[in-house]
Amino acid sequence: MADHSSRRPVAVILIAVLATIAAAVYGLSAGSMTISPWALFQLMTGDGGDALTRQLVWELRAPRVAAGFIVGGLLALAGTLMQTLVRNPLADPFILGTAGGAAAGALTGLTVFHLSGPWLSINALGGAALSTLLVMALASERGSWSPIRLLLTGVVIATGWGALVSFLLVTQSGTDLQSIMFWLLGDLSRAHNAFIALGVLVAGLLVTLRIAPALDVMAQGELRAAALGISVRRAQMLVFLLASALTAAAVAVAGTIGFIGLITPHLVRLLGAGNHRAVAFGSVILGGAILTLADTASRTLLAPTQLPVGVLTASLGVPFFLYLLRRGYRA
Amino acid sequence: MNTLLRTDRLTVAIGDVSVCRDLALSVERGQCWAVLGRNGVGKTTLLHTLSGLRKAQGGEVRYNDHPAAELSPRERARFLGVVLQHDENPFPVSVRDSVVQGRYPHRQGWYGYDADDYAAADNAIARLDLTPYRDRLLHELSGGERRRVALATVFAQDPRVFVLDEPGAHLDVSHQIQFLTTLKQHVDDTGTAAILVIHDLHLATRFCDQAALLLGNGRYVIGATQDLLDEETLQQAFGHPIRRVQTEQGTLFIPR
Repeated sequence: MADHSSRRPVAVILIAVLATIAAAVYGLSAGSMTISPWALFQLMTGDGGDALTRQLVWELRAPRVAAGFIVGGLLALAGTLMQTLVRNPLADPFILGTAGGAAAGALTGLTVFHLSGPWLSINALGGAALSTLLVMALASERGSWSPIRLLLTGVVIATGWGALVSFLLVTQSGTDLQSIMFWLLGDLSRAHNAFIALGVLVAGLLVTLRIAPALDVMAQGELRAAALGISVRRAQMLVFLLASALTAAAVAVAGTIGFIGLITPHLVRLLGAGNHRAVAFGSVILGGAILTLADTASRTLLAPTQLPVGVLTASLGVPFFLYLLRRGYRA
Repeated sequence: MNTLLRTDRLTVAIGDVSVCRDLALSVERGQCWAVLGRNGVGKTTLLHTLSGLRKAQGGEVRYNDHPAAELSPRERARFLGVVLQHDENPFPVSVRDSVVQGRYPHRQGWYGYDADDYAAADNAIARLDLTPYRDRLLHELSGGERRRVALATVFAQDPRVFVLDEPGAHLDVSHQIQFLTTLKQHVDDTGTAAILVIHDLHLATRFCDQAALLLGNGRYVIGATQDLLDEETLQQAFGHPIRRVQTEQGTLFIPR
């Protein structure tokens, strides 16, 4: 790594954009009926392609590709924020219990109240909000909270949600197992109407870009941030709420898809992004591309069997995570 | 108005350890102050209190005759710059990106740092002899080089009062002297002031005109550094006999 200076964000964003295009083409062309990139190009630019192909691309594949980008971007951005908040490179969007709360909320709705469809997403959002507020209240101590206290509280609450989910699974008989797997492993096959999530992503990215210089300072320690004029507690709350909202939006659309939020910020840093402006922007684009690639692979590798995308992101993530641990950032 | 920082009956404690009781300190333009005392006596705690990073148990700190507690964090950071005893960053960051953060309290407008901010950062980097390391990552540097990055950051911040916790830690002799000379010169030229925690008594007498020596149990003595550091007081402060020798090169302190 010769030069990690933030003056190279152009290279990072170029790579991310190329990955995005590749992921989009792959996502739109691969599947039960393969469409060549050329046919795809013709179809995009107007005429060409029969009605069936058009319908396949526009009504089935394009929404799923779009959802992949949105959810991947949400998770990667949430991961970036969480890692800075708890100042730990191994943090991910799920580490502070937000996603656990969402899964517990959705599964409670599913198994206890037999809800379905958008009601489950609403339940998931409620669970995420409840968990976030709970962690925030428990982690604060006489008006101040340290990242380590926040981290420990979040991890414990996340474990609690895990126990609740296990309880619901064990005491459950014969409900839609696929629905449960969706919430636990993540799956984009039911992700429709991701427009609200897109709005959350755009708003979250704008706020992150706005506060990026403060995030750069906060990454170097709370005392230093205070010494440089940041209201640390207020800033930490904002970052936590923002990351939780991003996570909740992602989980409500596609369940708990792991590893995207952990690995993407590191990938972007390894590509040379130094400050939070570059890391946040690069993470959103690259996170979207990675999830779309993984999702396309998950629905085509063992076709007609569709794997949950969480299986693929995890199998990409585990070796990368281990590599990262070995390499280390030498804190 | 020559007083930059003043304390009024300042009382500071950590847990049940009293750092100082009713401290009256008056830091004037152009002055360098040394904060001295044995390990654990509360030098860092006192510095944090003076910097507004910590609440006092009693009394108040005033900047330019305004109560420091009434300033916003940002106003405070424009007035007073702190170099902490330790710096840490779990994520890779370049020297330049780290130093330009000193401009954070001065940032104008919406979007990041402007050319002036980067010019101030580059100027500070040059002052600390770091220009060849400008685009290197912090965690690739040695302890002394990282220390100089922290010192460069406070120069980029350009405060009225510099508060430095062991600025010479990890620095080799040449860089210690170079830094303290630069700082003293800067304080003289700009009518600012500096407060340093320092362990080298010789350097304290050489670069700091005034000193506050913490004795423990809330007791302290303050005064002109040369007059303050006599053998009896040092014995009392450090619990160790220290001989003081006046030479042409300055005052030397030799522990027995």
